[in-house]
Amino acid sequence: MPRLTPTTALGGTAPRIDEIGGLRITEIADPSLAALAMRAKKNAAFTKAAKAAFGANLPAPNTAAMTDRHAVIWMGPDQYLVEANSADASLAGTLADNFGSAASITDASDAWVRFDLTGSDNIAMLERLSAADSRSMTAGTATRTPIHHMACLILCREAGASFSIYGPRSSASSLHHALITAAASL
Amino acid sequence: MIIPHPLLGPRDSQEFVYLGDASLINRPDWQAGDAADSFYEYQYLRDNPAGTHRELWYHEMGDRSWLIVTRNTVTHEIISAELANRQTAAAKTKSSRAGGRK
Amino acid sequence: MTQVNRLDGGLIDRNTPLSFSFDGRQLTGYAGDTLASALVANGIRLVGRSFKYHRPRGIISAGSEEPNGLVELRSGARREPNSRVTMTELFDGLDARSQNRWPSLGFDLMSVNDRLSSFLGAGFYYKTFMWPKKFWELVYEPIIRRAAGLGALSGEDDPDVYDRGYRHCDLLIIGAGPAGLMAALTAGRAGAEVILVDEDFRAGGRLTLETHDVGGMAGCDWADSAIAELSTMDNVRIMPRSTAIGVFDHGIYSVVERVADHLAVPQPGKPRQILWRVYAKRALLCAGATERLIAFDNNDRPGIMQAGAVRGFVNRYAAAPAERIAIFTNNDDGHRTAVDLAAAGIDVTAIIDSRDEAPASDVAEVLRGSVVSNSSGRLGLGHVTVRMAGGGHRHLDCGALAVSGGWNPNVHLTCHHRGRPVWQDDIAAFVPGDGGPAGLAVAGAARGIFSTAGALADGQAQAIAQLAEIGITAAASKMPEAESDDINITPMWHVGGTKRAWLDQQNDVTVKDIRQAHQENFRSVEHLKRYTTLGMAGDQGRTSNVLGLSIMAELTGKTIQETGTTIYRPPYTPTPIGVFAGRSTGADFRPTRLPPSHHWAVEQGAVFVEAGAWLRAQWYPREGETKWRQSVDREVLATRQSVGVCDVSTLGKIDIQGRGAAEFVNFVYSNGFATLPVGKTRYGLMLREDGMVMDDGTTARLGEDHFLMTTTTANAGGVYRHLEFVRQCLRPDLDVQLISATDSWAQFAVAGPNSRAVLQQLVDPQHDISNEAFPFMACGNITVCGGLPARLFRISFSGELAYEIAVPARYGDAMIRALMTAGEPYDITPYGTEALGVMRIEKGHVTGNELNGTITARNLGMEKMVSKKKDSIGAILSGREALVAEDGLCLVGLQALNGTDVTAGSHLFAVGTPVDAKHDQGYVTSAAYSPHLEASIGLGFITNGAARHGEIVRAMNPLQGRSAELKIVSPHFIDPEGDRLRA
Repeated sequence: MPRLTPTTALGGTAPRIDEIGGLRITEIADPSLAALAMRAKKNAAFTKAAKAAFGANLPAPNTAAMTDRHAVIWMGPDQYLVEANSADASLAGTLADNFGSAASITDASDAWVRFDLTGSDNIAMLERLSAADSRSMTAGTATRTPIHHMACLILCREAGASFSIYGPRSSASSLHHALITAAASL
Repeated sequence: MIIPHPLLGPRDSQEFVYLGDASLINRPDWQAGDAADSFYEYQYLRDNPAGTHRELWYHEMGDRSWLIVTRNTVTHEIISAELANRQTAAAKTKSSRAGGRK
Repeated sequence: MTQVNRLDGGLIDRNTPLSFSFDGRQLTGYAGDTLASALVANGIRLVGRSFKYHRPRGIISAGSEEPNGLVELRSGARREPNSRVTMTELFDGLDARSQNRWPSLGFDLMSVNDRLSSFLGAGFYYKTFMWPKKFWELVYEPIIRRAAGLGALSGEDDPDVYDRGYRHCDLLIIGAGPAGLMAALTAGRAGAEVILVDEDFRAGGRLTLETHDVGGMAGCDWADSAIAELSTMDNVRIMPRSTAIGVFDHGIYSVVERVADHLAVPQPGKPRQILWRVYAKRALLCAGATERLIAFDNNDRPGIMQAGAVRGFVNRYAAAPAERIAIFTNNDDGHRTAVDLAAAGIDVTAIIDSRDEAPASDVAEVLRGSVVSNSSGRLGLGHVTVRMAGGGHRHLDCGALAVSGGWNPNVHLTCHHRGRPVWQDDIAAFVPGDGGPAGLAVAGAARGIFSTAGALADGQAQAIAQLAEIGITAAASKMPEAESDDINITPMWHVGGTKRAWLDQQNDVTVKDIRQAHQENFRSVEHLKRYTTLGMAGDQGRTSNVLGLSIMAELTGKTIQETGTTIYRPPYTPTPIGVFAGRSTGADFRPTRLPPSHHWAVEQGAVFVEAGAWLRAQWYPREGETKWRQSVDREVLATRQSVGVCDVSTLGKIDIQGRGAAEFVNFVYSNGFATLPVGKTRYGLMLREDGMVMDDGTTARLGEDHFLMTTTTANAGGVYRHLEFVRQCLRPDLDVQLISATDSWAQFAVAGPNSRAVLQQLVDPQHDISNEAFPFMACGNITVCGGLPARLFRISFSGELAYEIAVPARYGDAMIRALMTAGEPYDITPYGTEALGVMRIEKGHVTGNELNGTITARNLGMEKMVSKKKDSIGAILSGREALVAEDGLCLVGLQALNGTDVTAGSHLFAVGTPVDAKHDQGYVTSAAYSPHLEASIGLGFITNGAARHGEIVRAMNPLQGRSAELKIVSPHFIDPEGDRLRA
């Protein structure tokens, strides 16, 4: 029986890295993600389980709670995207154990493509891509916003210096094209 | 236009999809004797005011919330924006107190 | 050729000479020139021919309002007609040609129109091209089209790219003249986020064109020092070469930045222009004012210009419009022109001042109470005729006439939300009225404060006031000293005469046209505009409107305020269409979604088709196959005979969880789901509330509180939105959570009698997928290839024994390769969307073709799937009288007879009835060649179809000129009992 080898969202065996001007755009090969949604009338249990699982309070709208092991990103009312800082195939399963009947959990590792953006011109680049006010973002700002008609998420890891852009995995090529085109047009 | 999202602050209306009159959240009772008529009215009969209008907007490119936006259709002034979800819950409580919907 | 009219001084860089050509003549200018100033410096007055009468025309302004100086710029694919010479920065190698003339600018045969002017007045088109009616398209339209427009497009694709951008600020300042710069300094020093846009490449506005001092230094130096200070502030962004073209709701402004128009060719990869969407908490319009002309006979001769433009060319560009210049004014500003020209050594012939009380001048003779009544000269000004105060005439030699009829504040952006300007008598001009866009204030000349000192002070005051509204405190600073002169205008609109006096030079509208409109009762300004085309040119009436209105006011005996203005709309200045498209052109028009097997399919040489945003394999041609049908027929037969595989990841997948999940699914589907056992899949029919079918798909119950719904590829987004509407708005009482899982899974249909045998090689052995253990409509979580989590569904779109196997998307590429290897012994065949379509038509499965928004469950023969025992979306209204009529449309199969083909889109008629709408009985929705039946078949709807199996009908397709005889049959062409899929 064959063993299956994963590919990145762009279809490669190794993550794609582009350096354009002062910008570095890095595809993250194997993000470990889980969608976490609170079940109705489970506020107390959900909050308690989150505190135990993440060691942090749940993030407010437009933000992410950044801890050593996770980024917990606010996605919608009572909905979060949990990002493990290092590859963790059991993320969704662990969370399901932690939250029990207080949450609905779905593995979202393959739902998204993630590109990390570092370098000097990233604000200028983001201004060409998104209506979100990237200039005023601080570490932990998380904004869902369209980029070239794609429903994306911008997560600021360090103000003005480091961002992650999440987009739909099936649109990885189009999003990558948009990013490198914007970087080259500055 | 800018929609003042109750959770996310000002967001460009380009991120939203418009549906229509907020009365669409008041779906009639399917078991009522006049269900055929009340569903017909619910589906097709809407006011089209030049002025203040409560309408449904969906934050498709954002947090996927349905909002009730109260907007002046003449000036485009937005008077308020609330989560439709909470609004529905509140309306239900109120109408049950008032003796149920018509 | 030397620059005959070049003077000393100016803000040009004489160390950087630039060569350019105009109508093939090689000329030189300097860096810092516009094409307009370089033409002026080279003594070229004639630059184009007018639109209707082909009158010789010259430059009249030095700014974006220019109506005459329009040229074809650049050549080849970059050729751009109607480029304003005043807005074109000179670059080395610039190539421009005049427009609307043949064979040459100096000798234009079409100038015969000018002699026919008495026939070509206002309303000419409306009156002339009326009858006979059959001439409209054949004769008149070609004539009008040939005559229309000025320059010509290249007809080639635009080789440049355009971009979009988004910026946010506390205060957007539009215009970097004295008011705008002072506002920017005030707001910038207060720490506010400021964006300062200016359409010029050099900041300063009028300060770059004037000689007077600001703060003890030349005005342009003060502007430079202000820019230098602003450039040190991180919170201030300065955008030169950028025009605010429109104001939209709630503080959204469109700004076009001309990134590379001053270069011969944009740098590689860089955009030519960017359309910025600026989100501003507050904005300040400091757009200045536009000088207007005075109408008199033959006032359109090249050399007759705005006075402020004449002195602007001299002061900023060291370019003299002529050696001898006369001045015609109704206010003190005209006298300032005389002073500047004299200082530059130009002979000022006279100041013709219509006011009896005009001031004296040290530099020229002042002809008080006098007016210019006519002009003469071939292809340019030679003389003007002055009607003297006491009667009598004087002829003056001059190569240019500087006309100052007063200044119109640039109120346009304040009118973009239907704000109406108000008339202010002391300056004889419209100023912004109430009702402008919320959050937009106006400062300086744009609201009629014309002195430099006034503009500086107003810029600061308005900035402080605007920032205070958003909680930012800005401090007042000491104002730099500057002139504070009044212009003392006495309105003077037009000089009566017997010839034509021009108002709108770009559209060739004269005083006589206004009179005619009045006479024919087109008196409202909106009628006047459309009847005469006054103000409909590229400058939206900036140089003409107020003159035209004043004349209509005179004729009707009303005030100008009562006469009113037309509505100004975006864009403020002409804007290339390309910048609105931005990057969304060609292949980048919209993003593409790729299924997980895409790269593998490319390797196989698949032909692709766009399905919504998805790029799907349409078929996989093999060597020797020259027609698509060969490939598709082979794929269908191979699947039906052995096994085929198709990537179906594009179907929408929605993960539904929660204690209320079952009730929720039961509510959104018309058929029952509450009792679906865990581990089973069911076909679901989703209705809109009006009873029409919205979508269909299979939904699997993965757990007590866990469902996985599939949607059609096309409706995935719409169904998700609908489910969120139901969840949040209609059933907030239910505990339900939704998440889209479409992109998470790579899902493959493995179909055909050998499908189980193929899958058994990949599914881990502890999972029994035999028919007994895993029957039709079973589903479950399994593992494949040694522990990889996967999902298996026993569902069939093709009608064969079939499965859909899903693995995490990252393993999709490996999975298709593994399936192909495992299937080798069975000659497994990948199939594309065409074969998929053929097989589903053979099986009678409906898809988007049938679910076209007008179809009910009953039309599909599925009325039993609308449960009356529960509340579900669409159940009540699908019972409406007309929707349950006995003779309604009914889904049928259609089989072509006599070698004809079934064609989708054909309409169906009973044999022997007329082919008209009245006898239309239905239509064909899908068609295919069935290699299995060796016949052309289709699906369609026909009145009372269930009772008509066996009947022959006619299918008419006038659009394609086809007709066919079709036999009505059951829609299930293949295996109607379903034995194959249960095998």
